[in-house]
Amino acid sequence: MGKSSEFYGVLEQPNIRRICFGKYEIDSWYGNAAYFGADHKTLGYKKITANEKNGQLITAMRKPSLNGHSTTQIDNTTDTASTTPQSQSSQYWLDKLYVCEYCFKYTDVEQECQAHRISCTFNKTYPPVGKLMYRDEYSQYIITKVRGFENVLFTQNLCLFGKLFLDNKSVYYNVDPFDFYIVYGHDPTDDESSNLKFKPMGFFSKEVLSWDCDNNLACICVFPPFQRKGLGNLLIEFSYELAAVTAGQKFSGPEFPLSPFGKISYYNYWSKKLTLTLYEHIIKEGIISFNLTEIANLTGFRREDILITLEYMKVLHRSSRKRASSKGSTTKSEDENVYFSKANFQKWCSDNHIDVKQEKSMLNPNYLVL
Amino acid sequence: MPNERKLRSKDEIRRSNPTLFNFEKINKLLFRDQPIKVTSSLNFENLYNESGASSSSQQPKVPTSKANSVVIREELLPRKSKGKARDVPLQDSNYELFHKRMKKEEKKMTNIDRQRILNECDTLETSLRLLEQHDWVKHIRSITQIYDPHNYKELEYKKVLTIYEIKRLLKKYASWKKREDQLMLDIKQYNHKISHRGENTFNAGDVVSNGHSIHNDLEPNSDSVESEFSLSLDELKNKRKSERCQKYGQIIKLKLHNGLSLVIDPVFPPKFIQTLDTSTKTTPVTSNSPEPKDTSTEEVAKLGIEIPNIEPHNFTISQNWKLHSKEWKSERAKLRNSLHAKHN
Ligand SMILES: [Zn+2]
Repeated sequence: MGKSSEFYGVLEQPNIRRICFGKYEIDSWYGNAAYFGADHKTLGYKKITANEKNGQLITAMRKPSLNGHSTTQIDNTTDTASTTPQSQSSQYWLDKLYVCEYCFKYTDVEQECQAHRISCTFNKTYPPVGKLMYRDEYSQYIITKVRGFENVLFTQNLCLFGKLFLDNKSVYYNVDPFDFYIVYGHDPTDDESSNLKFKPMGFFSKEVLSWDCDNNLACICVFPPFQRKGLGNLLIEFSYELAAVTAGQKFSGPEFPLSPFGKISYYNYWSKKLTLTLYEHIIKEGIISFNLTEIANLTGFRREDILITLEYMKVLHRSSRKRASSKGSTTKSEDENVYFSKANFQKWCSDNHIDVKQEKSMLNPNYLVL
Repeated sequence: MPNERKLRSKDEIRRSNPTLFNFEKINKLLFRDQPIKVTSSLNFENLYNESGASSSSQQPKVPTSKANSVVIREELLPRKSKGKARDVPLQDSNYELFHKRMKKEEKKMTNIDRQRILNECDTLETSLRLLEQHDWVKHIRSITQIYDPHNYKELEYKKVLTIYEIKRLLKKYASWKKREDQLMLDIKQYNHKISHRGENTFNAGDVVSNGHSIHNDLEPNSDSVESEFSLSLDELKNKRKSERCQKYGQIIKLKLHNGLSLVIDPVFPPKFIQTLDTSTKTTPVTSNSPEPKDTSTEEVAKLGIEIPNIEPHNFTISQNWKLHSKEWKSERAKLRNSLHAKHN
């Protein structure tokens, strides 16, 4: 992919070799150009400070692309002196990025980050910003709500960090119209003798001004050291609980397109929830026909999300009679019936080891404080 | 996010031809509540696969080779510095200039989106006006995909569908505008609050400019996560309830004297609930007010607010209603008489 077709902030390959996130060292999954200045090697804030002194300013500028979409490109015409990244021997713009695990401030100097983390104003037993929305007294996970405009720098840095694990994120700095829901927990690898701190483990953003008012989530990300704990599931479940108390979000779901992480998390969540719903309300009750709106009423999911999940589960099929498809295909024939196969459903459950009587959810509604 | 965000997704109907409403290829499962029939037979031959979600190539994947590369670093952390907060590296001010500039650039994109929404809205309003004119037949072909322009029945039917769809989109716009106004208000109020705290160099939408995080010197207030941890869950839930009341208004509960109450919540759809207390005293009170009030104008006025989609709930009027209906009738008659007497 040439430079000219780079989307703003989005790169095909990771452009930072390793990420030091607190005490963890991790790989990024995707590139993030938005951290950098136009030379593609200096962190933007360092570049701007250096150039400011020389009286010239060079940043990664953006302009609307020709196709009329507001997708934007990195325009480095202002920076003719710099080498083009493609010609460099390495795909990496930076070897290591150091990120504070409490406030997500970043630097390429290890000592700076180390010294900062010790005295970071976010390095507290309890998160110093945000509003408590969920407090699980058993698992010790909490979810807080942080409004973008109330904590601009913190949420900007959160977005920038999140981009390392999301392929499709494109807002990093204009955080005003977003709310952020951050899951915190105690890190099991932390020294238990010292004061245990709630650490941010993942988050999702919700766009207050999204055009589709039924979007209950814009981006979701669980940071690699804290994956495989069911936190993605917890955040998604929470997003639906939140939607249930939000005007106009009786049926809701995530913004599309989903990132690969989002896709896995959602397909997983939707299919489990639908499995239980279909078992309880359709199969157990001996219902002979249903429609998507009925399932939407039971789950709060959007009809299109239900349909896509049922397809994913391979439980819907058309009539087995092959229809001679006419050329114009404007003739609507009778065998456009769609069927839900209980046998396919059974196979889905056994293939995925789902026991409809055993499934538990990550979220306990008793702990919601919305 | 804003990249692909335009009038899309649920606006399915416009998708196949961006300039015309097209009702020809509507997915009936999604938009017409087509029934799905339950069968017992195994069938993987004719899988329903409109989106491609069931083909294995579409199974989602994360960069898995990367997923297991987490290591914990051996590190010697420096001792907590005795210096002042301003000596801590990575002060807010470091990032201020760059982040501010980038934000401004991103806002330009958002404004392009916003402009497009406004333009689209204008077009919709024009189309709606044309369709509501007596010569709508002349205009509908430039608005909606028509199969046979000589089929008046089709034209009529599609006019109804188009008007319905346009109104839905305009309602969506209204919701968006309402949310935008609310956000602007929230930001304004927040900036006001901050400047009154003496942190007047800080503006929402800007990075702190005095070099300190605004949280540096803030004592944990009663709304902080820390202090809310000392509350019991029930206390916390009650706190949220009253916060909600303050923001959106009271929840109103009308006792219907038949074992049921109508609950009108400013956020949720109204619903009926069972009430145990069936006393016939005429004190419909708001659920949160400490003292019972009579049917004051205040409560009545609140009944006038827009009710979001009323949800039908099945209920039967209890037997009490019949038993007491005669009493009530005579009571009301008495009341009317007394009022009448007063006015004369
Ligand atoms: Zn920090």
